[in-house]
Amino acid sequence: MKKQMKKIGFAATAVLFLAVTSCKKDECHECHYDMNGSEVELGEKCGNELEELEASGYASNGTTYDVHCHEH
Amino acid sequence: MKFILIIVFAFSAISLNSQILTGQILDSLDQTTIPFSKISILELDLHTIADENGKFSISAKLPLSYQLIVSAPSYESLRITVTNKENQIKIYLKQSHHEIEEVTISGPKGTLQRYNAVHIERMSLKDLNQIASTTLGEAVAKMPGVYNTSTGIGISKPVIRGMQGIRVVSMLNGLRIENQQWGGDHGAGITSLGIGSVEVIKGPASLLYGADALGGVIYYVDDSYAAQNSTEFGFSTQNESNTLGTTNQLSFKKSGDNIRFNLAASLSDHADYRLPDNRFAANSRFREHAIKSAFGWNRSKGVLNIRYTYNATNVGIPGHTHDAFIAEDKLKVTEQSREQRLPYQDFQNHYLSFDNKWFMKRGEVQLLLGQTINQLVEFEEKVTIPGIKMNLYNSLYHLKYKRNVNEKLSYKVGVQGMYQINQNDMIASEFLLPKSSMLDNGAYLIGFYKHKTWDLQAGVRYDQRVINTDEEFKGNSTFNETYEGLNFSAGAVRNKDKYTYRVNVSSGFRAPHISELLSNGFHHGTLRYEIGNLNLKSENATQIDVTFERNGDHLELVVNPFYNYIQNYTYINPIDSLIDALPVFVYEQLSDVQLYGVDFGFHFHPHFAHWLHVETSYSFIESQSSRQVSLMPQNRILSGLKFDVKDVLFFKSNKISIDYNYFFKQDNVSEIEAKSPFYQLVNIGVNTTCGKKENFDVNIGCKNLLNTTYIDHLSRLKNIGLESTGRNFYIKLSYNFSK
Repeated sequence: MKKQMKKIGFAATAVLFLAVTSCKKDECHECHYDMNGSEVELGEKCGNELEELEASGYASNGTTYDVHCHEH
Repeated sequence: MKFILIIVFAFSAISLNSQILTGQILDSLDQTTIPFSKISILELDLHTIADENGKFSISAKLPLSYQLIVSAPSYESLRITVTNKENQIKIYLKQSHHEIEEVTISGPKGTLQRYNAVHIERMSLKDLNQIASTTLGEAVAKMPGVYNTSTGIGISKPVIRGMQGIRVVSMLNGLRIENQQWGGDHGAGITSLGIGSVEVIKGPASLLYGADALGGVIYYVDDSYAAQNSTEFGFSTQNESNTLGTTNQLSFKKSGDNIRFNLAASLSDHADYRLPDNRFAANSRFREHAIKSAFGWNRSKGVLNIRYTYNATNVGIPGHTHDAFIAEDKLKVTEQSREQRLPYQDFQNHYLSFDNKWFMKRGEVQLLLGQTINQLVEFEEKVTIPGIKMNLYNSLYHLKYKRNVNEKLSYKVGVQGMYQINQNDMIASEFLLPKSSMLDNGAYLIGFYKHKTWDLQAGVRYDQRVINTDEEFKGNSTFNETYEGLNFSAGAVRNKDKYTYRVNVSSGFRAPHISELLSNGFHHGTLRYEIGNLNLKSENATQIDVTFERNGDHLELVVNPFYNYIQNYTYINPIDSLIDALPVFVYEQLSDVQLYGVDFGFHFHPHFAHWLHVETSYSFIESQSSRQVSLMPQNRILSGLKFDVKDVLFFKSNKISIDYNYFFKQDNVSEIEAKSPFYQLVNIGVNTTCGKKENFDVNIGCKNLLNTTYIDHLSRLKNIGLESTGRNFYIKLSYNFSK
């Protein structure tokens, strides 16, 4: 019985651990910006580069374009 | 070591002071013993199970006087008052074909429903899931007069007699759930993990629950602790064909003489749901996980319960489009996926409560302190920058004193309140609401009088809500306003022979929410630009609710008509304007709205065929106002046949359920709604139990057996023509072990 309770305790701990933890991967996405009604592809961006592009936009010929990195 | 010794000493002292109540449960007709009855002490939230000879023993710190509730299958539940001078009792139960009647705790007086002057619907989650539900919202919508508004499967919230969102208060074991419920696309913030039963008060209930309890109250009650001096372990897995979804739950409970605890965890993951035409609703996927814990301690003159629940949900927002012309192939896709994609919501909830009761000579004092935290994040246009990110902190208190003046007369007096702070995270690209705070305080008095077959109850309550913003917001200066409410409830119930007659008049109020006052921005979840209105007044509602019940051996009947008069009804109205391709909506008020209808139910259990149960409920609601109110649910008939089937091989307690649900067409729609045609659904389920101790449950079945194509009137996907789920086969396996 003691062994059974140990097993139950172990299983409960494992499930609790799985329930409260999750790993966050370094996400990558295809990015683009809109210019004159058409999409200009920027290719796949990941991590800090992805964050920077979405936050600051993409500068081209003195104009900064809002960048979107998702399928929409 | 010293610490351990102190604990050991403390536990010894507890056991030395405990009293032992022993007894036996017998049949009132032939004096035979009734095995395995459930004996509960209401005040202590404690129960035990009688042995095969009907004998039981409870060791506890017993109050001077307490209510003992005894229930057993095929017998009428019994409530008796016992004093702590009695240590040995014999209890006689009357045979009955009724299902076990349990105590309702959401009403003014925790007692068996037949003695409550307020009509409360109560159902155990097990009964609601005779045919398995995917979410808690879907399960609750099987109760009479209760519906479910949804955005796909992952986002849903309850609707009571046509009222929803901020007009419905949700409670978890006495703790108010605050989770940005004003938003039509924000879910209920609770999962089925560890929930034992659901109680619903339909209509205004501000006397007990304060501001916002205008449309009704959903009260979730946790599963009980393990029986005294026992250990329970449970595991269940539910798998569904439609969403390729799985829900897995694990629970562990242990109870000693005076200390008990519960632990539970769950994981749920669903891909896009399958439509009747075999395509899939794009981005309707969701996953959620939850943990729940409870700790109870019975002391010499009181009982303490500490509960903590955490849940987190990641849910795609289906039907999202900015296009003026909706391309169907973007909403209905041919490949099913469970990968996260824009737009989606991430929300997390923490619910913590300390609930302490002290027993006194002629009554009890109860103090509940709670803290809830809700974080809502919506990712809309960018994957690393949320569109909206808000944190809602809510601190609550409820202090009440109950005194029994004599055997007939008692009263309850209480103060209740909460302090709420809503903050925007600066990382978000949009701020729909300003940083704000809200302070609620209320005080109430309720009297109870019992005379022969009558139970009477009346009470009055005063509430004050103060709303403050700390900053200017999109052109509005700082806001500081106080709203007041004076509410009452009065009712009577009479139990005579097989009949129960009940009448109740109650009022409720709802101060305008900060979102209705000060919104000014895009709300992508609802696909609109929302503008608040600083001139809104508090909504006030008064309802009369009448119940007639017949509880015969073979026929149970409930007729429950109601009339609800609401003043200053707030609604959101489109104006002829677009901002960034989204329509602009503003908050306005109607001077009055009348809601009326009836909930009707019967349960026929013929004498010549005790293996057959015929159950039907009919919910009817109409509204009248100068302008049609939106989102009034479809009237409906939920009917079911249940067959008890004899044991087959090692399968026992076999039940087959067939549901036929008819939803009437909805023609009474507002200017911004489309009418909804009628639809009908057939569901089937088989439940059986096996194992030496009958501790292995198997539940299989199919929902929407005929693969009907339909869109419920309360679906938020109706306006874009995205249908509800197609046929869905499921299997649920549960294993429960106790020692």
